[in-house]
Amino acid sequence: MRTAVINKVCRIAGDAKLFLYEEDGEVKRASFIATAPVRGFEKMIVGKNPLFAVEAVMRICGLCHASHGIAASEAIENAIGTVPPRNGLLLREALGLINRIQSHLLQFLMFAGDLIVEQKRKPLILKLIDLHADVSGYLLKLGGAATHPPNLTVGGILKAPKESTIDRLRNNFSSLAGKWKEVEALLTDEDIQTDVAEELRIHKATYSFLATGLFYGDVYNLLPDGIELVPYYDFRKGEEARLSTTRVAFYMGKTVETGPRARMSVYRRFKCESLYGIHSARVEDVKLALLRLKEILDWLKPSEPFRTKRIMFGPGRGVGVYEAPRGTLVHFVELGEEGRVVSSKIVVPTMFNIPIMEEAAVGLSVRAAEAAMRLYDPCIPCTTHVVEGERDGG
Amino acid sequence: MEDERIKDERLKVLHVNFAGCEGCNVSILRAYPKIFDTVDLDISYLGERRHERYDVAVITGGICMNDPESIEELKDVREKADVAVAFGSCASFGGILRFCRGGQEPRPDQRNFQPVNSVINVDYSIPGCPPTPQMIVSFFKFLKDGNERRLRLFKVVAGVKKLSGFDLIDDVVLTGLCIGCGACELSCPTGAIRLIDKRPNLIQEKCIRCGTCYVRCPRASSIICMRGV
Repeated sequence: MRTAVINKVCRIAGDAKLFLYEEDGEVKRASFIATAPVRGFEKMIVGKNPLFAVEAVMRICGLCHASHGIAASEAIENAIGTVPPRNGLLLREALGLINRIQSHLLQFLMFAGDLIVEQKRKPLILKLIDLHADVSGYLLKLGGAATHPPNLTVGGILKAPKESTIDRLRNNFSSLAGKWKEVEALLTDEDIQTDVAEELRIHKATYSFLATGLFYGDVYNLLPDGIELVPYYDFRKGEEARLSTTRVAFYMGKTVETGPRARMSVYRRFKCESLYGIHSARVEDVKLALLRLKEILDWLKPSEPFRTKRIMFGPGRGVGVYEAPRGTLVHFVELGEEGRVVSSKIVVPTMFNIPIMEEAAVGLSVRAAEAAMRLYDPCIPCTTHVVEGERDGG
Repeated sequence: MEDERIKDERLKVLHVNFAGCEGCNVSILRAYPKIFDTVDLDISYLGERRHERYDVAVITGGICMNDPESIEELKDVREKADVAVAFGSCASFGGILRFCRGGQEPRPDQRNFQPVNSVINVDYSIPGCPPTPQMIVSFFKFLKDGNERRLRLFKVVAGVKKLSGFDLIDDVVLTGLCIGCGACELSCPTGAIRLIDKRPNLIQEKCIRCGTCYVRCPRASSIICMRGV
């Protein structure tokens, strides 16, 4: 059995290696080893004020910043028994959706190398960057920054946007939608797609799905105690597994896929059994997010409050569930006597997806297996070089 | 092929990310269409590394001192490039990574994170969480033009290992140098600075030690430039 080692596949804020054991051009087993250093945000926020916790966890990831901010705020609100006013919840949802679109656009950019033939790639990439800048402009105006939006906080939104700002964003919406239409046409045009895309379209792979909502995520659709976390090196024994710096997650004792395909399959009549279905679902996810964003902009009432007035931090435990771009994100938090964080646990979607990704690679060619990793968008997949070596026995 | 190489006079730039959140990467990527004419950028988001040597290495994210592999890689990147730039606050001053203290499964031993200038010599630092795409566009313009006056601040802060809102309060507000312009309030990425009576007030629990306010403050940046390193 030959081993193909892809030494640098990036993931959440860092690097990952991919080991593919192949025979006769077909992958028999795959190990996705995340090697980025553990910055330890769960421990970092212990002893701190919950307001710091929200700012800190947003910096876990520069791609799904708002998602972490929302999940953490929800968890803290759950712990102290408060909810943001209607405006706050709506705007928070909007920030999350903008973040979802930003993140998916980057995934399309990453995946373009596998999906689109080389001659047609560059115009698509430039269009994606241009659209990303436009979408980021929405986050800048509503959230206070294009990355790590500081307006997201416990109890709602810190700074209410002006009516004129909302009006301007509403008016610009048609240009945004127009640009997306162009990008969408390129992303779904089968005539300019590669052989790898074709292989992914044929390869059937479906799993149990985990999704808690179409847009926002709902704690009532999830049993928090059903989540089990295992360090990767305990999950897959072996030499290479020891390099891993991640944990993997299971729901109700099973491996589950989470992300756009799970959302579309659970909440929409979406059925696509091939791996390519994940790409189609992601395109659909952006389309729906844009529709919903427009709806929310129409519903915001600038004269009403965006944040709960009375926020008192005190002891309690809370869970926050949010549908991040890559799937279900869960934050657990416990606050102590002075309202400071006593303990916290963060379960990110990629933890659920890693075992699924490894399963999905089986039966594919090496190139398609690599593309399948990117398809699941383990934060950021970026391969720099493939080293091929011999390995006897396997 | 040979001819093409001679014609391509663009700066060869390598982007490398260490322990960071990738927000800075997105900033660089967003600047890509604007710097395309002057910069030949190798960023992992777009593909593999294409060159052996580079004119500039843009480094994002801090460095984990408990991870020998990344320290070696950082040194290797330094050797490959003529100019090293720390982009973003984690790489420049440590930023949020200054709050790390390890103890988290599955690698509780990874606890010590430092800005990259703790390990290698950095030529320029561009703090921000993340810096805007415009920062990278301007930086390459100044570098290409050899505009040393504009690059001075970036050069001086490359020798600084930590800066935060507290330093701004100590060096500018407490000393009575503050002119109340509000640049710090506008630049703060977490909204930790609010002007009260035309003087910045630091909401301590929100400061992530990114140092952006200090570099943006017209007074503080003059002080640091005069003092040098």
